[in-house]
Amino acid sequence: MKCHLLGAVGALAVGAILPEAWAQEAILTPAATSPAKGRLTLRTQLRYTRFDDDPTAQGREGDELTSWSRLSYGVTGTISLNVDIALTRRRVDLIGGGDADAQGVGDLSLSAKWRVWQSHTGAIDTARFALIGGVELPTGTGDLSSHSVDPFVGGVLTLVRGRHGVNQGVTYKLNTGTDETPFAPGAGKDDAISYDTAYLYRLSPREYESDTTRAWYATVELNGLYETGGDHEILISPGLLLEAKAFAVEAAVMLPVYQRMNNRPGREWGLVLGVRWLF
Amino acid sequence: MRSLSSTVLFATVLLLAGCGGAPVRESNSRDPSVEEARLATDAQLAEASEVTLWIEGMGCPMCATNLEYELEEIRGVVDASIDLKAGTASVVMGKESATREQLEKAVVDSGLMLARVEVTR
Repeated sequence: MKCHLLGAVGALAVGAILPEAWAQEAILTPAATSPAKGRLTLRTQLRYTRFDDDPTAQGREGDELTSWSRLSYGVTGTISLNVDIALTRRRVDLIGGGDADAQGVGDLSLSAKWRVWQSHTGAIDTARFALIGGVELPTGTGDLSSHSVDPFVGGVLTLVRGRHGVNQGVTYKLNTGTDETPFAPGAGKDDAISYDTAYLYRLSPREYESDTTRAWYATVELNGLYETGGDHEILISPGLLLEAKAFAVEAAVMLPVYQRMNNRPGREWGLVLGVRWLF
Repeated sequence: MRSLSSTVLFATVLLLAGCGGAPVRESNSRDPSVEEARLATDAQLAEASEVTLWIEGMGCPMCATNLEYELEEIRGVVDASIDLKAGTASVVMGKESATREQLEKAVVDSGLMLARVEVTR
């Protein structure tokens, strides 16, 4: 069992006491931002994750390569609709031989984000809070699907000031399925609570200029997933984000800092590469 | 892998501590006395060929692009450009001028706030 809980708490504490800290949307953590009314954004990420240390008798280990995409549409200035879909190739080796490989389409996620509050304290500085609600539908292929309709609700706070940014999100997913030993995080029969904290620091430019069209950010995220069956993971995800006027590219590494697994393998490490477009 | 996680976590804490100093405040001249003299009336807006919108809440370049797109969809708007340093949007009008309501709606639909409107030309 990997356990660096003190380190994780320390990082969270440092992030919480940072003076005047703030941001935009990070790589894995949600944000209280949405496309403008009538606008579309498309996010695509290629995610590679290595799994090991399966506590069950199956002794599973393997990896997963996922192409995840999210299409968001601004219904109004405060409400957006989102559709998530993923294509996955999973390789799973079982203890004693054999495999449980899978590839295909994952479950479809439909959600809405409603920004219920915002406060602007300057040209750039902003604070926003949004509610998120949606459902995952069992459209996936074989083992890539939870085979259940799973609703979720959550909230996210976004703060931006100067070069600093913070996003804090919490989501509760009610899993109505029956899989007692899932492979993927949050895909089993137990409810899943995701809690994510992201800090973004604008590396460049130091100050916005009149003709600024892009910005570089260093990001660090703590991404936690607690499942009511007892599985609990916290990953630290440092990353880099380049944001231009109508697109952004991002990269992050995911490393576990705390794991307590009872029903599925833990994440050994992960890599995320992504792009975003605004239409 | 455990030692790598520890190293990354330690380095991240150092980074957060180092970056936690006083943030750079964006320069943004918003002198109230000057603002009063240049606030646009509806009549002035109707005759204007270019106006400056003072915006609040533009957190990033892409946030600003949302606004640019919204403004350019207003009938009568020929061009819109964002100045992140000043926190303004310059809107060039054609033969038909945009109304204050249209301009404010575009800003609100972008998730931002319109602080004031000034006639530039």
